[in-house]
Amino acid sequence: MTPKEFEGQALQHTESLYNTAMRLTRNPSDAEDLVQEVFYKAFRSLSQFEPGTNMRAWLFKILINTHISQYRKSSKDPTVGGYDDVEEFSLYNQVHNRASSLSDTPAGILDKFLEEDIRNAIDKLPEQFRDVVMLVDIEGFSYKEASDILNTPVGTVMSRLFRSRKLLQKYLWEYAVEYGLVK
Amino acid sequence: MSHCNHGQDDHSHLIPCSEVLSKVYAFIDGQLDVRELEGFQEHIRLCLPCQELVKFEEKLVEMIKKKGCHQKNEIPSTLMDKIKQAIDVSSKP
Ligand SMILES: [Zn+2]
Repeated sequence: MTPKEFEGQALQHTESLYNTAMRLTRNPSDAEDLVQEVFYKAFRSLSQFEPGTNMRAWLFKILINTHISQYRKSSKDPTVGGYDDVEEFSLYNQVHNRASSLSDTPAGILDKFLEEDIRNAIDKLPEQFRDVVMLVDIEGFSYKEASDILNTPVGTVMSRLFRSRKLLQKYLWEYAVEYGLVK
Repeated sequence: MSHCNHGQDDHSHLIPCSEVLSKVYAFIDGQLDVRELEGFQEHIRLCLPCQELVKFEEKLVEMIKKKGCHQKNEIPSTLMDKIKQAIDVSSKP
């Protein structure tokens, strides 16, 4: 693959790389620098890219790794182990158990949440969890691709995804209480 | 016959409800193998509480995918310049 061909293909992913970078850094200027670094590294290691394999996944792998090494050095991310209790949280059960005092069914309450609520809940997730949700649910990567991008076994992707979705339910429940959707 | 009796009696061949609970996202994300899928589907066909839960979780995941997407950020023109710059620098031997 020539650098020109590579450039043509890589540039198609600028938008999703930038949007993801915005979410990772929460800052336009940092996001720009991050994406610039991704392209820089990608072109530097062009020879390592196998034509015919998934370029989007490859670029995302560079993005996530660069972000981790640049921005997460100083800040200590809570360990995944600290969220064991979260696995038990079920929005379904919360709503289901109060069904008599609510006009809503568990599924019905989901319609009340706005895009903003869902986005805020995702952004509130611990980083390791948020990464998995962004890759699998937002960017549409498979478990296998996500495990490759994050350099972690598929089983870890699955368990993080499981906990992320439980944690999201917990946040949504908190919003529902705050908004008075439930009493 | 709306409940699975938690794997007892005539439904003893079914996987337990706890397994449905632990596999629900793998099911939703299409990650179960054929055998697992069969067991899972048979369980939720016969067990109403699990069926309800799975429907709820499906709706939740669908909502995360649809509403959780990125805020549409316009790509700044300065970014395109930076990318060009990165490509130029890295193409030099
Ligand atoms: Zn069941």
